[in-house]
This record gives sequence, C-alpha cells and structure tokens, in this order.
Amino acid sequence: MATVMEMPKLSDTMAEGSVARWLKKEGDKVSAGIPVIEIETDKATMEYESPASGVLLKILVGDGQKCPLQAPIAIIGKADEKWEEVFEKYKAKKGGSAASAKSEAPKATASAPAKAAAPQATSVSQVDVKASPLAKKIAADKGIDLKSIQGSGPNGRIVQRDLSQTSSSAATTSPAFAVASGGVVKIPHTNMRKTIARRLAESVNTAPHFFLSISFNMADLLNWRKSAVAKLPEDQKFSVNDLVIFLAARALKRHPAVNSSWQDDCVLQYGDVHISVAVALPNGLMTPVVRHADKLTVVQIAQETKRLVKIAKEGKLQPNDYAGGTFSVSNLGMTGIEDFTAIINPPQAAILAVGSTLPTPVVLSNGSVGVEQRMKVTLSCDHRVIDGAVGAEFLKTLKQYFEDPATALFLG
Amino acid sequence: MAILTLREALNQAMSEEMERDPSVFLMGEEVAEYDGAYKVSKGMLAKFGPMRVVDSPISEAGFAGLGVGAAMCGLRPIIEMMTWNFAIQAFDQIINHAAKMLYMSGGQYKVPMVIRGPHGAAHMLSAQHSQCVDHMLVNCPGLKIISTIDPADAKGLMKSAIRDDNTVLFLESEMHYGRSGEVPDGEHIVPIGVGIVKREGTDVTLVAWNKMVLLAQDVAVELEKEGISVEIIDPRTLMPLDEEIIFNSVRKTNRLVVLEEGWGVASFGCHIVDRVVKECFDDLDAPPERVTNLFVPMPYNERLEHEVMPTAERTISAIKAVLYK
Repeated sequence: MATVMEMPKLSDTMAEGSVARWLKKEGDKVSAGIPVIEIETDKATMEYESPASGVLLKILVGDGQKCPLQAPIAIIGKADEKWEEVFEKYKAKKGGSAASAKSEAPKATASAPAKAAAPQATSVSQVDVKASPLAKKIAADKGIDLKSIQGSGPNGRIVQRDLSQTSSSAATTSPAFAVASGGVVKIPHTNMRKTIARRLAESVNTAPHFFLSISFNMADLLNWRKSAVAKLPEDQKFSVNDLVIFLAARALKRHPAVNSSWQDDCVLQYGDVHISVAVALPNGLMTPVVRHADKLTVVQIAQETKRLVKIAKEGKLQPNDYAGGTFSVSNLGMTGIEDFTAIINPPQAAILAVGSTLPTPVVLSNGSVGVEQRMKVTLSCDHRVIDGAVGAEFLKTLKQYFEDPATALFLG
Repeated sequence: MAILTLREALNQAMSEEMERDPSVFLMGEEVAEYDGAYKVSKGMLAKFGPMRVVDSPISEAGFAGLGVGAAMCGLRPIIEMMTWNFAIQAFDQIINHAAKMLYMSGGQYKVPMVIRGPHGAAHMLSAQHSQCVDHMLVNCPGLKIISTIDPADAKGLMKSAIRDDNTVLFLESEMHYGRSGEVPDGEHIVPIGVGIVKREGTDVTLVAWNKMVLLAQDVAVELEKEGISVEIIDPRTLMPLDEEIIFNSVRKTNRLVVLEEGWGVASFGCHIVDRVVKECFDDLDAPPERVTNLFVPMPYNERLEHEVMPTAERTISAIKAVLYK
C-alpha cells in the first residue's frame, strides 16, 4: 500500500512549506521514522521523517521548491508500484488535482504528527467523521477537532456526551463531573497537553515501572559548590541541579545499562549520554536535552541548561532541542518536595526524580543521632530494560559521586 | 372546578354549546333513546328533545352525509360515530365532501361539523374494531383533527370544535370514557392547534397523544428512578399541529421519541419526525425513535393484543436508544 507524503505543518504559524533538500533520491529505500527530507518553515529548517517504509518512488516537490501545506510532496511505496496510479487514486480521493490542495483546509493524517489543529480546519475536517448533528454543532462552536474525539455512540458515532461531560444527561451518570456551584471552566487541550497525555499514558501503560530510592549526604558537595561558585563570575555559576546532571551523566557512563531504550526486538544501549531536563512551563512541560552531558564541565552544563530553559519558556524550542535524550532528570527540590516518583520519558529506560536537600536526623556510625544535609532521589526504571540490581548499582555509584565528588572527577 | 369523567366532560361541552347556539344538534346511532352507546349523550334527549338529539339509522355514510348537508345549510351538526372503525364507511362523505366542500365551492359552502367517537384499540375487539385512524385522516387536507382523552382538554377542545367553521374530527377512546379529572366549569376553551407540556423534563422529548399520554407518563415515572428526565409533549391537536412546542422541547433535550398508537408505516409519528429532523437537525444528538403498533392486524388474543400495542418496555428501549444507554 503506497503512501503519499504531504507537506507537514511544522509550526503553528507555518503557511507554506519549502523543501530545503531531500536526504534521499528517487529509488532509495526509506524507513518510517527516519528523516527523509529537510523542510524549511517560517522559523527554521527541520528534518522530517518518512511517514512509511518502502521505496521513495517519486519526488513531486523538489529541492528549493515551495508548496502549500498538505500538498503532496512525494510518493513512497513498493519498488514495483506505479507511482502515477497511486497519485491518481490519491487525487480522486482528495476530490481534485494537486493544484487545488491550496484551497483545501489542512486535513489531519497519520503522516503529519506535527500538525496543529488549526481552528479554521475544524468545520471542514468534520466531514468524514461520524458525529451526531448536535455534536458537530458543539464542536464547531467550541473549536473542537472531532478527529481527536473517540465516539461512544453506535459505530463510533461522536455524540454530545463525548464532548461535554457536564451536560445534564451525563451529569446523572457521572457524579464526578456534577457541576459545582462555583462552575466549571473548560480548558481546550493544547498540542503540548495532548502530547504529554499521550506520551506519559503510553509510558505508564507499556513500561513496567519500578522505583528505587536513596538519600545522599550533601555536606561535602554543598560546601565545595559554595566555595567554587564564590570564585566564579555570574555567567559561570552553577546550581545543585547542574551538579545532578553532571554527576548523573558520569554515573551513566559507568552504567550504560541504565542509559538504554527498549525496542521491540532489542535493547538499544547508547554510547552518548544526552540528558533530558524536565522544565516546567505555564501550560505544561518540556524536556530539552543537554547533549553529551558526560563530556561537559559543570559550568558548561549550567550554561547550556540556562540557554535551553530560556528558549523553552519563550516557546521556541526546536525539535532538535528536545529530541534524542537518553536519560531524564526531574528536579522538584526547589519547591520543597522531599521525594517523589517520576514517569519515564519514553523511549528512555529511566528517570531520576530529585527532591529537596533538608537537614535530616540520622544515626551516625558511632550509634549516636546527628543531623545531616540530605537529598533524596528516586530512580524510576523500565523493568523490561533495567533489573533491580542494575538500577541499584547505578544509584550506588551516584551516591559515591555525591558524597565524595572527587571520585567522579578522577575515577569516573 | 369539578371532577368529571371524560364522557361527562364531553357531554357538558356539547350541552353548553347546544344551550348557547340553537343551530347545534347531535346525531348518531343510539345517541338519543339509549343515551349513547358509551353514555356520552346521557340525558341530552330529555334536555334538548328529539329535534336536536337524533337517533340515526345504522348507516354511517348516510348520517355523515346528512351532517354535511345540514352544515352546508347553516346548522352545526355533531355526528357521533359509535367508533371510528365504523366511520370508515363514511370516509367518502368525510374526505370527498366535508373536507373539500369549501374548496370545491370556491368558498361558498362551509361545513361546520364535528364528527366524534372513540378510536384505536379498546380491549379484545379484534382486528376490525381496534383501528387507529388518525394517520389515515390527517393525510387529507381540509380537516382539523383533535385527539385527546384528558377530560378538561376534551371539554375545552370540543367547545372550540363546535364553534369552528370547518369540519373537525374528534378522536376519543372507549377505555377512557370513565376516567376522571378536574374540569373547569362553564366557558372553558382550549384552542385548536395548541399542544401542552404534560411533564417537564430535560433528557428526552416524548411526544404522545390520546391514550398514549398515559403510557408516556408511566414510563416517565419509571425512568425517573434511573435518573432519566422525560419531557412529555401532548399536541392534543394533530391538524393543525403545534410544531413549535415540539421543536422547543427537542432544542432543549436534543432527543426525540414519538409514542403513538397506530401502525408505524407512514404514520403521524413519521410526520413529526420529519418535521423535527428538518427544523431541529443541528439540535439532534441521536436519530429520533418511534414506538408504534406492530405491523399486523390487531389480534383478539389478550396477550397478543398487549404485545402489538406500544408497551412500556418498547418505549423505554426507544428512550434509552436515543440516550445511547
């Protein structure tokens, strides 16, 4: 079954696309998920993945050429397929020639994951969705894309209750959504919210999580940081979180089993250490990646993290900034959280949840009770990849680095 | 306000109109000496005399025709059909003459006549005597059609029907002549063509008339226990139909079920669904459902008769279907 690749919408403000260059030639083999083209948007040039595996039969829009969004740009199929026939069928289905694609509102297709639900597309894209007339009216009024809704009526028909949990009839059967006297505010999903929901639900539902917690005596590290930072200029100062990334990256280098990813047919163990850093944003979160964190100095990590956080908060992260992480760090220490568990950021195999450093009563080696500055961390592991002992060994190394930082520098 | 049975309410309406207007008279089989087959005209012969309460021969086509002629000549006849099953004999007079006279005479002859009697199934009267005729008659332009069993509505609508200058068909129900309700005294008028919300609800609109209103009310009480709020609309008049009261309800509930006695093929319920789909299309969350007689001649057997007529069970299923439950 051949696939017609369309010009994807790669940013919310993108109005047309321009092919910077094809990474493959006609006749080349392509694989789903592997970049096949560089597309220039109004903001940047991005690599874009092939929507299907097969042979790149025909390039319709060549290097340097422009075309409207959703216009066909290439045909991918089996080597023996006639691209002309595929294209004719595609045009018939679209109800017009390729040239008319310009007047068509963008249609959601599986091959365009980056597509944003443009409000003006709503009413048009409802056409081939099964929905009751009322559901279509509600969707049009509220700007809901019916394609994103799972219908609960006969044959998957989308009906009123699928769109408004607070309708009178739904309220009688779902008390949890009974309208409170204070009212209910309906916040439409942003693409970021949908992505978070999809990826994290997928993670929890497919990766068997287990959790390992440990606490570190932070006295030496904090003292060292205090004296080191005091000598550094403002643009080189680093935080405890930067140290977490720095030390975790070095521990990962020693425990590559934790720096891995579950695949259907194998476990991929990465030679590079790219650490995804969870950054809270007003409307969600992003995980920009500090690349080669094991090779950076703590000052470089601090600078890179600051840069990424800044562009994340400006909403200007490019896919390249948040793709390709091999391990994640999520730090809620600054908010006073003592310890917590995090959901693994797929396809990674582990994430480190970092809590606050707090004065904590401990039993000292001489049997008396004392107070230490301690920080708790919890490692969430994908048990398909990491067994308990493997995760524990990683944390043991990490503890050694935190409590005796010199070992990380000289023995790591 | 008095508590009257349906037969007493109809009797009161006819008597009050005969007192008010000397051109009104009652004619039909056994309406005079016998006080009416179902005692609707009880005491009227004694009160108004044989010139105004007239026993007719057993010939529906004949006395319906007499009614048409009398009405053309300026009287206001009330023709009682012992049942509407027998009135099928008189359909030529009703459809070809009463309904069309004003039109065919270029407006020269009005036919201000009421034809009334019980219709629909009663109890074990078998195929020929259990017929619901409303959909047959509503298809004929030139007739007004009222269908009700509510004593107060029956009184108010009967008075409107007698005063109307067109032929008005009045459909009652044999099983409910003895059913009583509060009826306003004296000049109580219910206008033709105005429906009523019998029960307010939020989840589904259930349109029912005549004796089906009672079934609708039972079903609504039953479903309330499950948290389903049923709004019952009784149009009371089928022609002209109060469409707005139905549209307004559907726009609120987004769902429609029509519960009608009578067979479902090309029935009056079809017409209601058609109008709602046209006027309230964007308000509908589910295809409307209809509950009707099963499409077979009415059986004599009591249990089969019950099954063929609309049941609470089928009505509840239809309501749940439009609620996707």
